[in-house]
Amino acid sequence: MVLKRFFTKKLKKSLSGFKSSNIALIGACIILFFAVIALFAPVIAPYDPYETNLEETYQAPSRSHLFGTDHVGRDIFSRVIYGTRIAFGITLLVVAIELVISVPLALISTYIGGVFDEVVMRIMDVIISIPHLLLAIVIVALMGPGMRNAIIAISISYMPMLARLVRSVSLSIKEEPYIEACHVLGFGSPRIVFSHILPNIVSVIIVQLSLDLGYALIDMASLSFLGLGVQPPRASWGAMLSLGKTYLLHSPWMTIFPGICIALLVFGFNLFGIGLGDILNPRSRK
Amino acid sequence: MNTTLQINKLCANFYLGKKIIRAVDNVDLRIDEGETIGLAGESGCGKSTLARAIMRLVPPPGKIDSGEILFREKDLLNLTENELMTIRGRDLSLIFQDPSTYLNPTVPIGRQICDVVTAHFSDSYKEAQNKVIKLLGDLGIPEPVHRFNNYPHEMSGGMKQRVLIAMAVCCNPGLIIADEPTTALDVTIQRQILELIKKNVMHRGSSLLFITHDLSILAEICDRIYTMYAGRVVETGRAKDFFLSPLHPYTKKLLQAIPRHDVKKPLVEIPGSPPQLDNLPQGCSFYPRCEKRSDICLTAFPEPREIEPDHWVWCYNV
Amino acid sequence: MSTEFIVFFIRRIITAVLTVIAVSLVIFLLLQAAPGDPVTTMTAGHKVPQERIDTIREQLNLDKPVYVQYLMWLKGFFQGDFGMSFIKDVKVTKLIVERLPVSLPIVFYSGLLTVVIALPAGAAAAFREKSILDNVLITFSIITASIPVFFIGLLFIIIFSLWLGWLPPIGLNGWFDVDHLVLPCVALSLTFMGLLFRMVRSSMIEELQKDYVVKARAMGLPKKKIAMRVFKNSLTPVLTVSAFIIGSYIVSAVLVEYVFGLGGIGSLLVNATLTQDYPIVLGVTVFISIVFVVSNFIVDLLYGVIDPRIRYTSRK
Repeated sequence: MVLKRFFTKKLKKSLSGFKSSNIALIGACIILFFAVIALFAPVIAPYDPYETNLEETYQAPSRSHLFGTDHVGRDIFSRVIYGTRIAFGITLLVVAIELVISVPLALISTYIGGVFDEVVMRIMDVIISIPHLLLAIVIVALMGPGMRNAIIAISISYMPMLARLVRSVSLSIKEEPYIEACHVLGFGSPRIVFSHILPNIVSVIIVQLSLDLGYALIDMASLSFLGLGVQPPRASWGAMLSLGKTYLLHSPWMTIFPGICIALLVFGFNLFGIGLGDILNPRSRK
Repeated sequence: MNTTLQINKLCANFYLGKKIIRAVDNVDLRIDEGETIGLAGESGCGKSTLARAIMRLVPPPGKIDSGEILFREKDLLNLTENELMTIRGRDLSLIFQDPSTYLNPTVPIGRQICDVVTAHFSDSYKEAQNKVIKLLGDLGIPEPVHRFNNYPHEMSGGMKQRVLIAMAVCCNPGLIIADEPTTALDVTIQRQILELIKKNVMHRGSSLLFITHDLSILAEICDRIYTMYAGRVVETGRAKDFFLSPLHPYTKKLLQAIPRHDVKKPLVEIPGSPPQLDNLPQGCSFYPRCEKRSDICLTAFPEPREIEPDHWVWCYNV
Repeated sequence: MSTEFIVFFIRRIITAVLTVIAVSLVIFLLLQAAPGDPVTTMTAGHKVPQERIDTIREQLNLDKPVYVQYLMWLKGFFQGDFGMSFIKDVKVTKLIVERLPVSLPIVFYSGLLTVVIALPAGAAAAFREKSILDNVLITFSIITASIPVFFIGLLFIIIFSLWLGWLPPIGLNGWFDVDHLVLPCVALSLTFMGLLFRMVRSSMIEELQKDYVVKARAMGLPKKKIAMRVFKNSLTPVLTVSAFIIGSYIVSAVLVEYVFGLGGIGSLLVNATLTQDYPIVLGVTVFISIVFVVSNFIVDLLYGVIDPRIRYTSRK
């Protein structure tokens, strides 16, 4: 009800917006492009991404192998295509975990206040003091490398940012007179939180999450690149870059194509996030 | 008698998407040397835009579309930005409404005033500093030497407004525009500031354009008064004539609406609400709220008529 | 120096120290939770008698309860000793110190490059908002921010070493070895240049709309002076956000020098992680955290210098 009205209003505003919606649209197109590839990977990919062929190793891009082959003869084009699935899967998971844990935690914490709030915030402060990737590296170091652990590690490192953001926005809203009016009118706490505080936070959360998609992809690729994330023979772009590094000087195509895909998809996420940010939180002129 | 400022048929509009807001609509205004002119009207009637237009500082999406602004015979609308820069602050200055936001929060106030002096004169910083300290004293700021280094957030509203006044008068400009300088202040401070303006502006021989929605202030200090409604001038006259025999229905209502402590009567209000400047009716814009309205008022905006010597009104029904 | 400022200063120092200790505690505990026993790792592949293993444990204090181990480490920490590597027979501190001369120039030069380019560009774009220059710069900045730092590094190596043969791909000899420094520094600064540029730009745009700017123009102040003042004022929000970015910057620096095989702290950390050499991981992480916290501290101080209002209020 409240949420629906809120969204339709914002949508109408965004459709009449000019440049910002273009940016978001381009971003969305890029994301969609990759999503489609991910969805139809088995149909699009000419080869099995795990199939090795020791007769055709280190081949430069050619008509039979669009992106060339790697050191054990696997077709890079197919691997890149399947890598799209992993890229989406991972980023969506990280963002989902972040959302499901951070937001309620922050909301509850702000609302309860007191010691609980203090403790939670101190913990968040400490986690923030460690740069994201570093924390992820350390967590993976102790849990052992692997996709699952990498996802957990990255989610943990992102949670404080979102929690803090939600908290600062809801704190400022909590002080607004209309919330006080709700109290006076006898609204129960859950109702206040969900019908009044939440809609105002939603736009902030959405923007942050769309940007986090991009960051998560970069961090995930970084972890895989260091050998701590997705493990071979899985075809993730980051892992492919890690392999590519070893053979960089004579088979650069092993590195170039997956790297470009990472950059492109992150670019799409960023455009989408930034465009969305401009639409939902416009800077007003006097 | 020299004319310091002559505005002819000035039009300034704001372009918001499809809407055009006529903030200043065909306004004529004259200020002679040494005169104090009052400009009265409700919020949103275009007074502030007029003030900014004279300085050519109308913010986008606003634009001055037509007319003339003759400052000492020179049309300001024809000057380049560089030429304007020499005039602004030196011959023509502006006192703003809210002193808190109009001062740079990270620069000491003394330095900010000195900036104006050094921008227009070849004084050294030390010379400028001395001038400014003396000026601060004249304006009633205690311990001016110490206060010179204060930051805006260390001063009260009244103090800050004195700083703004200092900035406006430090170069002895020919014309000072005061855009609601007392509105943002406490009532007790308002009086002090008003006295200050009288002393430092009027008695120095500068012309003053005092903009406000509070008519009682204008009664004290002005030689002539203009009333504006919905972007247009509706009445102008000498102060005495204006207050003793107001002509335009709007002016009359404004005067009646001033609460009086000596006579017991209910508060008078003007019915209706302020006009939306993008959706003005054909003809006289005061029509919906006027008690003297008639059919002729809907045809076109009335032409000015001189009812008494030097007392003009824009109305059909006077 | 006023008393408020001193109080401000001391508060910041205390917070900084506490944060570093908290971080070290967290990492230490995390590492304790790691599966596997360092001794087993060390002695893997060799047949070692049980009593020998016990002796080693005792030497490494592994037989003592966790909090004692931490306190002993902490004691060593305050004396500048991060413990011994499990694998190599070397003090962690020594390892870090000998790799610093590689990491420091990169961090320094890239930082300089980033600031020198992004600040003026951001200001210029703000003044010419919505012009072609502005749009081009924004697009460029988003692009560079989207490419992972290590990929830029790899790409550079491909382009400049492989195809063009202009610059050598790996190695480094001191602070002035331009040939080896150019690629990693440019790669590192590109990523952050875009970010800093956008922050400066949006901060300036917002600042330019403030009332005091209108006032300054109304007083006929020269444009240059107004521009400088506005620029100074718009730096404060940029500084706040910079505090967070410095962390990512340091980590990216670590990645970059790993990619370029420069033998700095980056490769130290990565190798230690892969070989589960926990003292090194702990030591390097804490070291990086210290650097992070110290830079935040400096940023906070700068904040107080630039914006006089901050000196008088204590925290956000």
